[in-house]
Amino acid sequence: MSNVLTSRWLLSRRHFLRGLGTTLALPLLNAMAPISSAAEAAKPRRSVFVYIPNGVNGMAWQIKKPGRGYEFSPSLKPLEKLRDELTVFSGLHHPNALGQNHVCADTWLTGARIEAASGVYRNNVSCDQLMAETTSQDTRFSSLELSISGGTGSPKNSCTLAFSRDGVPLPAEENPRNIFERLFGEVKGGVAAQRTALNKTRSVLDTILDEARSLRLSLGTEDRTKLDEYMHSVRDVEQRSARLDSWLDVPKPKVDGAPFQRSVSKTQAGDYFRTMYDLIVLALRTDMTRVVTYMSGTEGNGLAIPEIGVTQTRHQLSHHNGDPEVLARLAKSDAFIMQQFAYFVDKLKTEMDGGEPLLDRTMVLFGSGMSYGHSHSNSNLPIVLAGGKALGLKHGAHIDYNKPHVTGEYKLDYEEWRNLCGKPKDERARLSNLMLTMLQKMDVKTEKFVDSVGAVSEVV
Amino acid sequence: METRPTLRTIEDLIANRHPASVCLDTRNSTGDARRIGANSTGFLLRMIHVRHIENCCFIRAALFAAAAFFCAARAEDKSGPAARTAEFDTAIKPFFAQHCYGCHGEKKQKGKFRIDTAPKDADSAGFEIPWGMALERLTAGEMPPEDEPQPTAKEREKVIEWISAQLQANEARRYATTERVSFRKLTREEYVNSIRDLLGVTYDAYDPTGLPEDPEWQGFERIGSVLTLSPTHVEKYLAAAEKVLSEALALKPQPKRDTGKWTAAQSAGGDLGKELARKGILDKVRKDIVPNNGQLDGVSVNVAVAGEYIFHAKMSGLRPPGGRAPRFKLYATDFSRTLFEQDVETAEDAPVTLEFRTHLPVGGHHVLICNAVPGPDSQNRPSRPLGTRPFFTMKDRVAWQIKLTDDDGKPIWPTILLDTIEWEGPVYESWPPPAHQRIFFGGESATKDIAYAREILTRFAARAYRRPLESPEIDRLVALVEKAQKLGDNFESSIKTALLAVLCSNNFLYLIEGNIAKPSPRLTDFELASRLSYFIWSTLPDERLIDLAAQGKLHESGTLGGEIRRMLKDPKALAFSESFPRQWLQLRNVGMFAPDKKLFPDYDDYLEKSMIAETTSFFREVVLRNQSIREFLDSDWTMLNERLAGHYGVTGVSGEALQRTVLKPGDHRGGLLTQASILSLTSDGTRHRPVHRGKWVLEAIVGKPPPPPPPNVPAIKTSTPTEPKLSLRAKIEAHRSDANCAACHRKIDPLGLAFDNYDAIGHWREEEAVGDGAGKNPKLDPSGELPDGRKFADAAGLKKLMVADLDKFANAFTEKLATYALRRGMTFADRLALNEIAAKGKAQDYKLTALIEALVLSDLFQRR
Repeated sequence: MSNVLTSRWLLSRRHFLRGLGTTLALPLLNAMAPISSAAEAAKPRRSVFVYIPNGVNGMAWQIKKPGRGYEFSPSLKPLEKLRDELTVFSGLHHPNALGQNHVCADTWLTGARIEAASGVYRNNVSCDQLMAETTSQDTRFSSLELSISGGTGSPKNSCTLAFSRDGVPLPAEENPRNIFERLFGEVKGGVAAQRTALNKTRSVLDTILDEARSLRLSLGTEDRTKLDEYMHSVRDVEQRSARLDSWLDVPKPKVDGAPFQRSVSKTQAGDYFRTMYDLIVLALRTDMTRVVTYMSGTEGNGLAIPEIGVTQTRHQLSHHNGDPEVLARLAKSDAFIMQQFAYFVDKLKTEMDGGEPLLDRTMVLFGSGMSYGHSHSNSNLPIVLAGGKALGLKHGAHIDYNKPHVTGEYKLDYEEWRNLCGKPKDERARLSNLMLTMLQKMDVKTEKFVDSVGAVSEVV
Repeated sequence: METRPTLRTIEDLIANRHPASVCLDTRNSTGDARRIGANSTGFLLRMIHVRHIENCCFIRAALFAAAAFFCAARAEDKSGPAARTAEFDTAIKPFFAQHCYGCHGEKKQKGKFRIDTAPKDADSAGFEIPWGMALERLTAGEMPPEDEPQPTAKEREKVIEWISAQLQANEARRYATTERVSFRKLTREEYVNSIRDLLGVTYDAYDPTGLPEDPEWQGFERIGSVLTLSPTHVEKYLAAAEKVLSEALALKPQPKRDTGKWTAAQSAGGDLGKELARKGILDKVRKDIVPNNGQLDGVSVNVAVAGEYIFHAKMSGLRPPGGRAPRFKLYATDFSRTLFEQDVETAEDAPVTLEFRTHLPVGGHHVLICNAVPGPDSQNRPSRPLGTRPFFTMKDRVAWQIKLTDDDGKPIWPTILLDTIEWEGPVYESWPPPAHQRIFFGGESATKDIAYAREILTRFAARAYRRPLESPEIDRLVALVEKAQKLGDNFESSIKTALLAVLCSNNFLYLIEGNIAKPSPRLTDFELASRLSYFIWSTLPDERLIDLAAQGKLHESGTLGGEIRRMLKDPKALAFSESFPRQWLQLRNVGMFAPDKKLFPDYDDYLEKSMIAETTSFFREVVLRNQSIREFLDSDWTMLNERLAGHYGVTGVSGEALQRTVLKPGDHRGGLLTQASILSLTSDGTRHRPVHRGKWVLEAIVGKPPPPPPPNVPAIKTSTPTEPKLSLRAKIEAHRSDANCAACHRKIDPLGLAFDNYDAIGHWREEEAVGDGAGKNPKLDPSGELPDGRKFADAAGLKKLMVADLDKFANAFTEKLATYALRRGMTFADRLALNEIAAKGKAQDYKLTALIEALVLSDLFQRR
């Protein structure tokens, strides 16, 4: 593969975008030329979010000792060589997700309260999208949404982690070939044709916006929620197409696409996971985007792993009903997934980016919105945070919010696990705190994310 | 009747202050305040864990008892705010005065929470904030604190019930908001149907690249205030419009009809193929496709031009003695769509050719060839090891095949012998396509000037907007045509650009009702045409409806009655028979979590589709035969195909089509409640869930949903390997020993436990297969007691009690129907109208079509 340095693709179009509100002039090309001075250019900050469905087998996952120098549990063992690159958390939860069944996947990055069984589905903006608002000015793609199943899935059974400002799910892509094509493929029909098409689209958008505007005027200042929602959306798309236009003249990086052009079968789970992880690394390395979400399994579609003899899906495994045999298979599936994740983190660590490992400016949040799948418990979530050392994150410890509420050593038996997952031991141990921490490291100016009570002091 | 109490300012809401006396404004001046309430409290509402809510109508036995609804009076009747407030003072307030005001009242506000000033009436905006918080603490048993005097379980239950009923009323009111001009977005389904009727082309909205699924409220996907629109939607609508217009319009020469072919002989490639060709037997090669061949048999279909394609597939399908017929299925992996599936059963020497049409997008598609029946092996594998001797006949047994046939060469498993798959397309009804001819109505001889463009756009937009256009609207579109021509478009392309704008306009995407200049409580005839058409057909009004609207006749009751009867007979009414039961009964949850392959090895896609089809075709049958809604509760017939009949153990049904089948009592079926779709959507794929089933019955059938569960309910305990096996019923009963839980669960659980004889996929059983614990599987006990003391022995007994309560069900059903038709929640204010509709239905034995007609002819339907 060719070695593409990030800074070559680092562009600043803040200035350009600022002027967008009033006019849709041709892009100010010189304003977007790569910035040579490192002092001028803020170095990239990146975040990746990886979801696994249905929780884990906590008896094989839970790390016993809090703090540094802990012993890795069987399921986390594959991460051992990356000890100093990551932090393992116990006892985190989303208060709003408690008792919400499988809806925990929809809200993993949003922290929203959505009633599981009935009622209106309305989600919040996900934290990755808040980050993308900051990073998108510098990259061709504001964010990348990947998943085991393409599209958005259905409300309460989402197959995407990303939700827009309006709480609308952003469709994910599942096919490595299509993802590669979208990232690195040639512009269809050439730049001139694309530009004409964009111009035409903008005329259409102008027209429908005009139409809506005249209606809105007649409505006066009230009574226009739905129409306003429509107008905001149209205006937003107008800006997006202007942004697309501005990138048309910037050539895409040339990379080796061969590994992604073949057909990758999901029945070969390891190959599939690694191919997706490779794509994420490639997208980050070439600075096509700085924010990636990857739903490596949905609550309804968590891959079986035939290659290690696990033929049930994760949802089926998670309804183990206490059966030791099924629990063993769940642990086996967990360990396998961690192996793939270790491959990913390791790869980010080996890839160099301007003299430092890619991992050092990339934060990776890994985990599930469920803990004890059999009864859909959502406390004591399995969560790992890796990378981002150059952004100021401190790693190497197991941060356990179950202590001191749980006294003595973990027994790692079934009852203990079930109880740990049923109700949070520390109600301030919120997953949103960790998300707030990441948001701040991404330069998003905020002191709060949903129900956060403060950044995680242990890692900053 | 039109008056609704509201809040003075948004500041009041945020500060949770309320006017001492609720002001009663007229609707026109209150719409904005209501809207603000609905939006700004949404977040808070979620935070405080208020269960989203059923409509208010049937909530309270006490209100029923009052029966004041029938006193048609302009003044407040006994269900009005005054009566409700009075009830609060006598029945509810004392509880709070005794247990709560001490810490959360005038003197002290522990946790900055105060309940003595909370509004008493559910129609007050801001009601949900303090009461939602109070409900949560009460149901969780957190309040009053342990060291304080405790209320009895009965007292607690009464208060919980009051709060949750009021919260439901409050929420329904917020989803019923009517602005002076209301915008209700088309659902995904309605968009697809409208495009079909406008342009005659299919939009693949359900593919992963299509439109997002619509959010729902109580299963209903068409509630105006719930359907949102984001930039992603706008991008999707733009892309969709581009796609469908490209297909509908002939802006390029007619695409060449492309053909493709797959033959079994291809599987014998390379030297082997040459050898077989030399021997002259290459065309005798067939492909044997066994169950679970998974991803390994496939065909590449390259599509250069999107459109309709015709497929022909030639094969034999061998059914093993006593087993199922094989099921031929083609599945496109890149856009996750089943293109075709059908059971095939023909002799080996008498192959059949199946034909089907499907709409394909552009691209190189990988299409799996499957035999979609459960089979011997859960691992995917090719039908036959590659590179071995190709398959010719079942008689010719090679070592590998012995596992698949008996000594006589008869199949052990359902087996497909596939010869060829051929396809061609895109196919067009005519060229230019009909929509092109309709849009460019002047034909080739027309003068392509701006006047012609104006006429084209006026006609098309009027159809899309479902009303005549005003001239500034047309001017804007014409200006776009001129602009597009400046950008280099020819006449036709510039028209296409303007049509794109029409299809992305708010006037097309939203059902808009109301007019600032001419405010009226009644719908205009054009608005009525749309409301009616999207109710019954889920699509645009046809020309006849629009004509009647233009003549101003549609609202006349004679005309309207005739139209509704005509519409119900139209094939487009299938949309209602599919969509309404799907939304009302929450069928979208069927199969959300695939049943465990190990526990339910027979479960497959075909069964799942048959389950859903039973319910929707059952509904349709009731419409078509003009039957009573009583059938929904219990019936001596249902709709079955061979697959589902096998699942139910009903004999004598063959074929794939659902057919009306007479049931015997021993079949343990009848009505909706014991249909496999309902029984499985309330399960989780591994076990039945009695509490969920009970909750579903309360929501869908009784129309009286239970209050939300407290957070952090501990998980149900499993038995250790040495403890005896316990039925789920026993585990639940042990689990809810807490009196606080028992209060609500006494009402929920019996309605679910009654169906314990049906497992997680709706299969009948006498005992429960329990995985944990030791010893024999426990016998099931479906008996129970309703809150009013009536007892039942099993599901059949419960159904009888429900039939005896038909009036209550009719009320609940009428409300569901109105929610669907009016695209909003029903409120206290709608109560009287709903009762009148139900009463009209009763006069006709609650015939479904009579209820629909009564609804459409009602004031409720024709008002804003």
